[in-house]
Amino acid sequence: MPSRPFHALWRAMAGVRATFVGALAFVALAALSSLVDPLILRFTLDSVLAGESPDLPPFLASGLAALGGSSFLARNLWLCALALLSASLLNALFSFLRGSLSAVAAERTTKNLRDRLAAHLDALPAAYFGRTAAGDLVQRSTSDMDTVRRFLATQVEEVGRAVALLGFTVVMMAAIDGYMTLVSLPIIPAVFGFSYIFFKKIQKAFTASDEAEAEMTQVLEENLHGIRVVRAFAREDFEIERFDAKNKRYTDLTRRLITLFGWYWGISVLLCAAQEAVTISVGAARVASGQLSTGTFVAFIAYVGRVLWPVRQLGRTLTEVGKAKVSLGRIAAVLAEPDEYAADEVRVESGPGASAAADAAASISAAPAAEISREGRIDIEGLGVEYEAGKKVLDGVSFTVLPGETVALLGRTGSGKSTIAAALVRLVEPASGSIKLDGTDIRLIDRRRLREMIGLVLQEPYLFSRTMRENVELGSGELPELELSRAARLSGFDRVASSFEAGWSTAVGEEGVTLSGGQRQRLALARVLAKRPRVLVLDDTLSALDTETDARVRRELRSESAAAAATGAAPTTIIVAHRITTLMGADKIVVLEEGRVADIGTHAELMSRPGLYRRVWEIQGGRAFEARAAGGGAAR
Amino acid sequence: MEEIDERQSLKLSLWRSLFRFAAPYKRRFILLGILMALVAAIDAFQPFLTGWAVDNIAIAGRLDRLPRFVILFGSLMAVQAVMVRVFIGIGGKVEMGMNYGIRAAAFDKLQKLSFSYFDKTSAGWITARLTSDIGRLADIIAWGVIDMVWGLSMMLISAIIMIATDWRLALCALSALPVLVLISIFFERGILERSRVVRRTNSRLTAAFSENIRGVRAVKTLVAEERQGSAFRRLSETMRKASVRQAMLGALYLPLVVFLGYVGMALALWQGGERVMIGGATIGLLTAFIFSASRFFDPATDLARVLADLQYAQASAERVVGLIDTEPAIVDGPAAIARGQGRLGPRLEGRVEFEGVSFSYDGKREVLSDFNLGVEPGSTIALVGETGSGKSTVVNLACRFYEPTSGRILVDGIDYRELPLRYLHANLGYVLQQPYLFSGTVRENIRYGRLDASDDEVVAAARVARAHDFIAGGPGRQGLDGGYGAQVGEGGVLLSTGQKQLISLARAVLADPAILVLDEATSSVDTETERLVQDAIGAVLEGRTSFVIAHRLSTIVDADLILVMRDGRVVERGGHEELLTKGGAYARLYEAQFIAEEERLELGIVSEEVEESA
Repeated sequence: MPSRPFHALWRAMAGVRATFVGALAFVALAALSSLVDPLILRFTLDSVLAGESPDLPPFLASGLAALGGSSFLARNLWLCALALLSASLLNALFSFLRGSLSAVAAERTTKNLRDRLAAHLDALPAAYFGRTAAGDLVQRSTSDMDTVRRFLATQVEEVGRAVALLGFTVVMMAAIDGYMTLVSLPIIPAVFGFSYIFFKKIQKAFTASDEAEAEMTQVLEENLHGIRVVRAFAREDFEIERFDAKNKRYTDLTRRLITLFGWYWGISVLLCAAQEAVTISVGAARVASGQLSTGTFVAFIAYVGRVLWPVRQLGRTLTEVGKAKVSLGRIAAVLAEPDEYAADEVRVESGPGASAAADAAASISAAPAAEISREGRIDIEGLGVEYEAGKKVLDGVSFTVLPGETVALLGRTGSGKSTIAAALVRLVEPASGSIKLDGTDIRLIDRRRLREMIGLVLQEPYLFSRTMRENVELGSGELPELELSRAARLSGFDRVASSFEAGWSTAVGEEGVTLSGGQRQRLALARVLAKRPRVLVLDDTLSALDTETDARVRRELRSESAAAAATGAAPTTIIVAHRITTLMGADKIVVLEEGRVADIGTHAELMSRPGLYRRVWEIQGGRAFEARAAGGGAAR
Repeated sequence: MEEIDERQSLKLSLWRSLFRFAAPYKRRFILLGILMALVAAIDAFQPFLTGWAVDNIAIAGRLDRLPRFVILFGSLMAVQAVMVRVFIGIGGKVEMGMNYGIRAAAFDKLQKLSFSYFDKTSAGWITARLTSDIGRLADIIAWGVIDMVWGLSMMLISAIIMIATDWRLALCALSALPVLVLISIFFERGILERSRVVRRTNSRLTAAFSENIRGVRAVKTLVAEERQGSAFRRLSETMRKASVRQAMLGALYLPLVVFLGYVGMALALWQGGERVMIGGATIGLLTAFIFSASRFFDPATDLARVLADLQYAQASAERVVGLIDTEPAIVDGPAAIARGQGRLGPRLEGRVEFEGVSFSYDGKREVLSDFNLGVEPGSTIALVGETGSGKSTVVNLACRFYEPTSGRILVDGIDYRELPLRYLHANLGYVLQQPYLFSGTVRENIRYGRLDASDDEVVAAARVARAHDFIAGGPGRQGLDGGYGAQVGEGGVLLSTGQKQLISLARAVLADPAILVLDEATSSVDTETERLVQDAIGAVLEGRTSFVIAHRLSTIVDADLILVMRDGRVVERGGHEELLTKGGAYARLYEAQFIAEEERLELGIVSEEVEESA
């Protein structure tokens, strides 16, 4: 799908498009009202103070005549001052409306875009996050988003303001004196052109300074992370020199950049002054020769002064707009990534089980997972998965797990165990073969419903920076005390929670840093158990627990399962493990080697033949050690 | 995340302690002050020059005066342009100079601070201090001063010129000043308050995005999209409201200031106009007052912004000064300084003795109690035990990364607190649990062990550490792309953990330290690499005093002395055979270690060290 930046922005503007138009209208009105006062000055100077016949629109002229003409105003000069104040009050009002409406519109648009991005990120396939750096995504979501926000909140307004001011000024100037208009405008395009070119050109210097800063930061970070190496080799001086070089380079480049700005502002002052000098000189000469009224002259000086500043800023603003476009493109690129449901719709519509899928979709509504799930039988048939085309992580894996059974997976690192676990909840999609849950291909089951039925506990669980309780309730929503303590007891987390002073209200810190690996794993198990899934998948979940705690957790799970079995509701369990004690207790063990099933059987069956399982049993049962010790005791 | 209250009033003592970094720029600051006052003077004077032209050229019909005006106006503006160019240049020098100076001082301090500081302070925190905080400080000190001097001078000089020219009209033009001050104080507070809310909400929003992205698998497997989504949308809405509230204040404040300018202008027009009619003032003077009045309040918004920035920057100042003023916990005493005078001594022999050493990281819980150990030069000590048993503490103390709470450690018979820290570290080698390489080439990383080593010496060290073959290639195998010149780290070649271990061993070989500390890490490597690493470790330990936190059976078995630690005490000590036959703690640990190693080679699993049950 091509990314369409402006379409994304347009969509996010839903609901505030009218507000934006309103804001733009007030941009114009504010610009217009800020240009009235030179006219009042002109009128006051010429018609009131100098007594020349007023150059007014008919309705104002007749109104004035009714009051007694210019002499009335001369006696009541405060009326001119009042007119000035009214114009500026109007200007203040329009400016306020301009500012607040564009804030309302911009913040709402940003919120819409932000919410849509957040929702979309949640819906992207897990594989997307495997190939995209998290830091980059966070940057798109935050700093790029802020760049877009600033564009909407200020830059649109600034560009509009400069253009409106320039346009209205030209019109007003032309309306009062054509000759002076020609004299007052020629350098203005040069001011704009100079500023635009300058800010375009200076981007390179900006980039150089940014890169130098990044390099300096990198040296700093490496120093901090490698501080032990630095100290142990007594390399402090070397490091200081290395940092100093980067620090100096960054300093020099940025200083050079600032000097460039010095040139820019200096020249810009000159250009603007030149335009003012021309207007004042020519104007003064024309007044002296009687071709121009004093009031018009003063009004022109005011107009030139007023239009120069925004034009000077316009060049800068336009380069900022360029940056905003890049940022918007980066956000739109993420939004254009197909989400994990995109492919489903095709399948559900054309697949053989379309109606089953429709039923599934209909029944997802409110029913708890345990009720809508039937048995908990899993059939894996010829499952093949590849992360990169041609590189098979799983190849033709088939096995069946009966309802209520416990099946263990054993294999070397990289043999594909975790991929099976991920495929069961559709975090990865098979390239070939299928997985069926109670006879239905899981591709025909809505992902969320599937994940409600099959609870996967990851080996390296991610905890959120909240309290323990909130982490457990993440998947289940608020839990009754009884349910909470059940999940805690089964997972062995009860002892962890009670070992902290604040108990369940203890905050776990960023990514759960305040907990040990084993504690994090138990919390992750608890939060899945709290959802009471029909099928429980443990992906090496208890690896960081000491053997005693591991045994206790498994004992609890078994006894709960036995109790449930009486009512025919024992959960089906698939467990990835390498502890022989865990493996032995399974109804069936699947041994994986390089993405294929090398062997399947019960403990007794696998022990009867040579292979990975027996080897692991020997190692962990101490047989290998005893053999080695008997063989002479020396290590390899 | 710590919260420093930004509402607090200005703390002068804090800023004074930053003055030392401004000191080298004292003359530039004075120059800047003068320049800004001059720039402001020209800005303030310009309307009166225009007014003069209106009266004396235009109305008076004296075209002959035009050249004089053009020359005066032109040269004033030329001077102005030059001053603008110069003050920005100086401002840049001051800003970046202070930036550089403060950052260099902070980095120097970081190289001196003891590990107890780094234990408490995250690298990310420190990085933020050295980059954004220091940047903000230098910015506000340099440009804040410029804006402030210009703004105040501009208002002051304008006022003086106006009063001197016509005090009654001046009163009209300046009449709104008290209102401006009141309004500015009110808005400055409000804007500060509201932008604090925005910033705080924004950092929560960033955290939420980050958690949702990094924890996406958790969100999906728990089907927590809805719950997460609604929490996010609530936060997002809070952010929207806070931002609008902040923007509203700004949208109100700026037009108000402009309006106040017009109040002065309108009053000047009214009173000035009447004076013109009775002949008490000229049109040109009136024009000058009107233009002056409309500009008079321009600096107000700048001044309000500088004051607000100053308050934000105070939090940065506090953190930066805090870092620079932190005293290192370990410093050379007078004895060490006397001994280290001028030159570093000869290479140490490597005799290390712990005499009744106890240690506590936090001053409460002892992690090592009454530890005694004598190590002959050249011998290898293997430390084994569970996590938290005190192995790492022994190593940290031996390196003098920390000093004993009580007891003493002798190196070559001298209490090491009497030796210069640099001297000790120059005789020390340290190979990390997780090998740490710096970005740069393979050669540079090895040379880190001894900076003046020749290329040949680097290669020789790599050979000893069994790293040469994979770097440069050898019989039947390809080397790294670029050999010793290959870049490691970001954007460079991807090295396996085993290869990184070999390079960091080569680094230690090149350093040729008298005392070597090795925090041995095991990782999932192929048997070939594992054999290389074992060989390399054997070669590196040869001939020097070594402390090894050992995980490999080969290292343990070959050690001259094995210490089995538990709860900060040595529970068993002796040789491998001796301890094994004893059948105690060591025998059990050895078996566990054996199983772990077999598992690692069979299954590729690196078992974490067993935690003590909680």
